[in-house]
Amino acid sequence: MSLEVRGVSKLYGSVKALDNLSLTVPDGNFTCFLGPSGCGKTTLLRIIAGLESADSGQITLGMNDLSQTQPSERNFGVVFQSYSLFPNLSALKNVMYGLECRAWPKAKAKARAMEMLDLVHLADQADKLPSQMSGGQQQRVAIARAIAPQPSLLLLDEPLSALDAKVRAELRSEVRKIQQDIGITTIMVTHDQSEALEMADQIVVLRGGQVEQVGTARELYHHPRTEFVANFIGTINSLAVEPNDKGSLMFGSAPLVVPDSQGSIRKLGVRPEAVTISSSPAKTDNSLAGIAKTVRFLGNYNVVEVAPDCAPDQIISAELRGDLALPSEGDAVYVNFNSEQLRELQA
Amino acid sequence: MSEVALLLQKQVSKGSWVNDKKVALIVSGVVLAMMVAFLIVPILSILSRSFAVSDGFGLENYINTLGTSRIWELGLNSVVMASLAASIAVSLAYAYAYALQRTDLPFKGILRIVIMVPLFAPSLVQAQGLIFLLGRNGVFNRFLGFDIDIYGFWGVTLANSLYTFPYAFLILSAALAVSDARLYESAVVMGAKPFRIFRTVTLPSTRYGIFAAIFVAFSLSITDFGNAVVIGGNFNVLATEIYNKVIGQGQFGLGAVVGVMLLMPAVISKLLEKQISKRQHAQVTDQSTPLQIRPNRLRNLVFGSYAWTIAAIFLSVPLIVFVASIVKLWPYNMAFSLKHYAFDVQNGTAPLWNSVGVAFATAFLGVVVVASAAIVSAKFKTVLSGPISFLSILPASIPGMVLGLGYVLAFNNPSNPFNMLYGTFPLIVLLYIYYNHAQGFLISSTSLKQISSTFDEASTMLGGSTLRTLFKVTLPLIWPTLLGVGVFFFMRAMVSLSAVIFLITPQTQVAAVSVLQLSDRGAANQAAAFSVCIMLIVIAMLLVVRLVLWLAGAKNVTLIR
Ligand SMILES: Nc1ncnc2c1ncn2[C@@H]1O[C@H](COP(=O)(O)OP(=O)(O)O)[C@@H](O)[C@H]1O
Ligand SMILES: [Mg+2]
Repeated sequence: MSLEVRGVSKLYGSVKALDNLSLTVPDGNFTCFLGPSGCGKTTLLRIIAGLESADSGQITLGMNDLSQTQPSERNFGVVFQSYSLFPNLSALKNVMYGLECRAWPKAKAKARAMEMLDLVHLADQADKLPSQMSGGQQQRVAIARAIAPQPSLLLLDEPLSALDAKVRAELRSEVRKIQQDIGITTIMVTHDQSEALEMADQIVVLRGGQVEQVGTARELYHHPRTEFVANFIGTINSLAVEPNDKGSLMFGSAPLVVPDSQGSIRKLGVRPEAVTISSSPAKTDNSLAGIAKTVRFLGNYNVVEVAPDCAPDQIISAELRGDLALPSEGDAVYVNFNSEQLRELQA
Repeated sequence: MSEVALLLQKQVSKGSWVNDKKVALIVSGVVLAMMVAFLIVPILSILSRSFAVSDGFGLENYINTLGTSRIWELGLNSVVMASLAASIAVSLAYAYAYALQRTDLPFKGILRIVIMVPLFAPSLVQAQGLIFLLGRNGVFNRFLGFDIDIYGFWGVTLANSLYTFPYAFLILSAALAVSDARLYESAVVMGAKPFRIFRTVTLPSTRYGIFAAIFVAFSLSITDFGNAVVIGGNFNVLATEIYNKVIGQGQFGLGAVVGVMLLMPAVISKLLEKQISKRQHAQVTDQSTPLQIRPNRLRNLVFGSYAWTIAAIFLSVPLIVFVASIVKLWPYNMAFSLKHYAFDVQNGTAPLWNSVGVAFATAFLGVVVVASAAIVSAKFKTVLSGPISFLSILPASIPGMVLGLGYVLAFNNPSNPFNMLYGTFPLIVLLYIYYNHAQGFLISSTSLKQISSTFDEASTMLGGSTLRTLFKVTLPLIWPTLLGVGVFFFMRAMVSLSAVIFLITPQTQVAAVSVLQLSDRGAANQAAAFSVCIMLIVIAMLLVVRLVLWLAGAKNVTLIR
């Protein structure tokens, strides 16, 4: 069932945690809420779960308005950031908890719980207490516990952020695989863009309690709507431009060749890997003379930062891969990029 | 998939047979109603009775009572005695707590438990012990050739100092346990000498603890009844007066006026508390580093001798009482005999078993009552949570004797719906519960607050109702603490005297009162035997519970409070 959030607002005192926010999570889709700390991700997730109530707005699942449904009756699975396993119950008992709440017959509940533990590769740890398991194992059990009662929606609040890097990488693909296997509509909160890129069907970038942009990983990377999104997912050179009276866009003192644009563009973005460096002007749409300021070797690639002559305070960096001849710092160079690589960025 | 989910969702809705909000409201309502009936009504009864005159309300009782010079004399006696007893107890306890918290003396465990012994027995054991030591027929006068007269002011003061010492110690020990090494280090770097450091760093940081300890010791002393009766001689205090006037002569109006007067220390301390906490800023922040105790032989020698001297004094009291209970006739015939344990006078052992029954009932019900109050105020968010939290800790400032008098005035009244409880054990149990409510509540709610709310939320999202969460998750996590609370109630119910003294009838005798009556009748050896039995029962209880906790792997539960 698809989840629909319409015009949800939430105030904490004078802090606007959510500001008239709307979005849709399609059936069976894995959606990530991505944004910096404090942007309202957790608040939104908790409002969807029913653990927090919105000041205004509406949330519907399929045809049902959830406003009158108690959180305990929503049949949502939730995995929390901190280990939330009941410390007095074994892994198996933890997974059976939701089934017992639904009055499953004991034998059936146990079989289902074992099946779930098996799914997260922990069938052999069924009798262990949470304190006897590692952080990664505990989160696996938490996932098994959340999906055991066949919830209609799975909510995960930074489930991997407390784990160390190796376990985190392992669990990313595992969570994604489980989600696809059982086809459950899922929302995961994260502040880690690589996590979102790797796992999500759809990414919702949040900023200051509002939706900044929604799209697939590719859409967001290649067509960021704003500088915020562009910088949050990868890095970007943002060029402040100004139209002159002849109708061309000026980057400092030089006109830029841009794709046919509408309206007034103030900022253009170009990804560093779309920029090349040469010692003489290249045949790209834009080729700007400048001075190489820094040249950094980063293993599998190099970063060259150039101060263009037309706008010396707007450094453009280029990410160069492969065995290229690199300039030295202080060399006069050209920075080159094609117009179709330029993205219009809103504030 | 989605159909299954929808089906399950329906099943869940049907499964939760009660609405969580309703449960919360009903439980809160019951908790609050009980507080009104067994706490508010008794206190209001005292107030209203103190103003009640033959034709309505007036100040007649106050004028009559305060118009006699006797009441001023007794008031002065009480205040001087309680102030001195509190000062002695708090200064000795401070040094003792300092020795245990800020030095590296060996055998701290023994030193700690020894001075707790007064908590295991009724207050008047101190007076009993002092009489066996310093009385007319005491060790010092009879065997060592001294000529001490302990009966009177000094006897009561000393007995109350001993009695209130462990209460003061527990508070001061907690205050001295927290410290910020950085403050001490900077004081040392600036060249401060040890005494100066003590005066400028240690003392100010424990100011609040000292204040609280003085209040507790003063309030326990001024309302204590047993010591004054047993060792007071011709020295009378307000607590004995209120008893004589109410029980002996049925002068409830006067009793109520004195009861209101005994509430004054609490009111004054509440007013002072604001001033003191205003000046005490957070001494310990999350950046504080705990103090490292460095070895220092001279310091250990001084504090070691001090601590062991105090410990010896504290051991000598129960020990002499024990000895007196197993000799034929102190001090004339010191041959071994168990005849005082026959309890062939009065009601025999009945009061002892009554007390054990009452103590168990108090423990079980007390845990239920304070745990419900703690759960309601910490976990259920209803409109009643605020008033419940406030009323929960109110008893901390009400002396047992005053609450007990309130119970008489409230439940002796035929128009009170609980009038049928008057003169029964259940009312005594309820009195013990509400008298000790504040501490039980604070222990429980502290422990509840340490349980992350994530568990509640996880349970809710899995479809669990509030009650299921409580019984499956919360209670299994805090049961060791609740067991500790139960022990606390048990202990208090075994030993409290002032609180129940008004509620005792021939049919509802309890052990502490029996000790008082036996020693009042001059049966000192039997009274001693009775006290020993009380102490042994309390100690046995502590040991059993400690064992249970140890077997269950819960080792960090404090049992003695
Ligand atoms: N219970 C609360 N009380 C007050 N403010 C809160 C509360 N929860 C969140 N906030 C505020 O709301 C904003 C969004 O918080 P949150 O949703 O936790 O952000 P995120 O999960 O994206 O880091 C923050 O400014 C935070 O300080
Ligand atoms: Mg968060």
